[in-house]
Amino acid sequence: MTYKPEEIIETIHMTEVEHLDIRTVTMGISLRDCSSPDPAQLIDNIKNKLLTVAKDHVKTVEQISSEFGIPIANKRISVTPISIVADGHTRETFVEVCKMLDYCAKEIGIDYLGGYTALVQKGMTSGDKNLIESIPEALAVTERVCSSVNIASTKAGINMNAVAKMGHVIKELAHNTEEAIGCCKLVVFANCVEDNPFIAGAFHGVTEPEVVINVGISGPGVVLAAVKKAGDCDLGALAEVIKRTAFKVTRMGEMVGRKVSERLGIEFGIIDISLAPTPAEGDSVAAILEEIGLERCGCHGTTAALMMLNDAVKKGGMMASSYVGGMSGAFIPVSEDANMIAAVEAGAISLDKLEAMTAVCSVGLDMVAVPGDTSPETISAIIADEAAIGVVNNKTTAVRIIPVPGKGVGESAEYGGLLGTAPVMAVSKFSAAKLINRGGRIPAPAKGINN
Amino acid sequence: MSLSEFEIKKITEIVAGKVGTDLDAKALRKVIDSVVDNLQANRNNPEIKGVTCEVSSNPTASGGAPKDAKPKAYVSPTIQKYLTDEKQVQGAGGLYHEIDKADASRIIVAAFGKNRPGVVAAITKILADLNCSIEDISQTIMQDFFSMIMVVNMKDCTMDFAALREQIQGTESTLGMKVYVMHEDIFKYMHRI
Repeated sequence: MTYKPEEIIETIHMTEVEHLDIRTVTMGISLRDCSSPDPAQLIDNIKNKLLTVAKDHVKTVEQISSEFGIPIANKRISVTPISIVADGHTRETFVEVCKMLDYCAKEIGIDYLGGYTALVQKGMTSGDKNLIESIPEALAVTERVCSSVNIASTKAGINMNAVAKMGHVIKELAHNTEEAIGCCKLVVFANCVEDNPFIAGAFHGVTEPEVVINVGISGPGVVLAAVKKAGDCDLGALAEVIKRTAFKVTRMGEMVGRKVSERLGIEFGIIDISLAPTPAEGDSVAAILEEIGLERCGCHGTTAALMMLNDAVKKGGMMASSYVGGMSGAFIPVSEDANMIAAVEAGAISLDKLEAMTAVCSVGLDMVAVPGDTSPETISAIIADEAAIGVVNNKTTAVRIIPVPGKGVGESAEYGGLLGTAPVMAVSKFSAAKLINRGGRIPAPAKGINN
Repeated sequence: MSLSEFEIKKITEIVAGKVGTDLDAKALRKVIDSVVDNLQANRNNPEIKGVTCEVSSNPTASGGAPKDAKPKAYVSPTIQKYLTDEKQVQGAGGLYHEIDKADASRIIVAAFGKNRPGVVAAITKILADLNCSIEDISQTIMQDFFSMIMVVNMKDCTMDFAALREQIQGTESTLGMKVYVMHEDIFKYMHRI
């Protein structure tokens, strides 16, 4: 097999110049066999399992990265929703479990571990309730544990009691942590997926195998370069260019996933073909949309451009891998995307436009800072709106919202690293408190009844 | 004599590696016999791990297995305990299986920079010293910009990949070139279906 020089140069260019990297190699680990009525035993079981199963994770991924010359940005772990593993235990025990997860993450050498999770789209068990109530403390006393709560699904409808509760949880968590950084580790989902490799929403679903390797690719920079190179072609031709690029990027992820899984002797699960931006220059989804033809991301036409981009990435990715899963759509986190931040600062994009955009891509209102005096009911109402979009369109939506204490519109919260800078965005002045306080469950839409 | 399915597969693989275009039926039979004998003899040899029957470890075998025969995926004992189904480890098969079966010992060496004498010589000398063979080489000079791409087989290399790469990339400063050393797999996955 021989290669054309331009193929070799293209690959080298992608990794060297265009920030092509594998965003995450996530090891999903089932903790279902760790349950115990004795809190000490439970925590001990979790520790033993995690430190045994994941001990070679970081080393192996780093080896593959250096051997193949492909940067792999993150090594992460997802675990079975802790509300299931620790069901029946008290709120205090949940916090202790969270601390142990944090300790294990440190020992293993990873920056984040996901799975401090409850799935309550239809209702709550005592474990779900205790986990959710423990979040403001658990995420404040730990660094590396990420939490998610699924409050709605197309099959179950929207659990508005849980939605109302999450408004308060998010406010309390914001209050408990500096610059509300705890809120960066908490996602509220509708239609969550069980094999998502991306933090903060990663968890190891109950239908997953014992251990599995999932890979999340990246590559907004590569797509941006391809769109630039394509020049003034029409949108059909542009979709084709994006599709081809997504294919190549996905193949790279596929290779890494398979090599890691082979080396560790662990089953390969899925590859998540999401376009995941970072604050690095040029590694921006908003920049692609602007290159397609928007003066600023957020102006009229943004939703259409995003729909085309998202769809083309999916089509290319699906051709490249038989096991596409997870979120697999463009991410539009505000604080983690340089051009998105600039768009907010220029007044080009509002919370409302972001909400519309989430109807055509994954995932939702992500890393959005709002004024610190936003009421819990307003936060709940934002969550409910996102959930409605997800439920009725049979897709995942999420809210990762940060009410930054003491800050208002025009200011921003600085987190650094991958989390970036979050400019505070305006919320509606009018209240939805009556809607939220009604509680109950919004019934599943007709779309969910499809048997 | 009864052979496991794995052993039969292994024999076929080894024989396939030995058979040249001009091998006659008699010689072929001889190769097969020697491989089967060797497997049998080594069956209870504690030196041989699992069922892989590494015939190449025995120098008396007639030629032995091709050195690049793919070893079984390493499974650490701690993880093995959590795995119940051996098949899970092997992945989904199909296209990927075919790719994995391909020669994993080929690498791509590429050098880019301002043209100067001795670039190819410097790199090929390292490769020759380490017993690597060059399977394909192409170079272009555009104005004063030089680019060279080699496909190298390192199955008989006396160094592992990481060390080899380090040594080749060590020439970067003296040559004033940017030198890349990557596994062929990357290009295979990305540019070939």
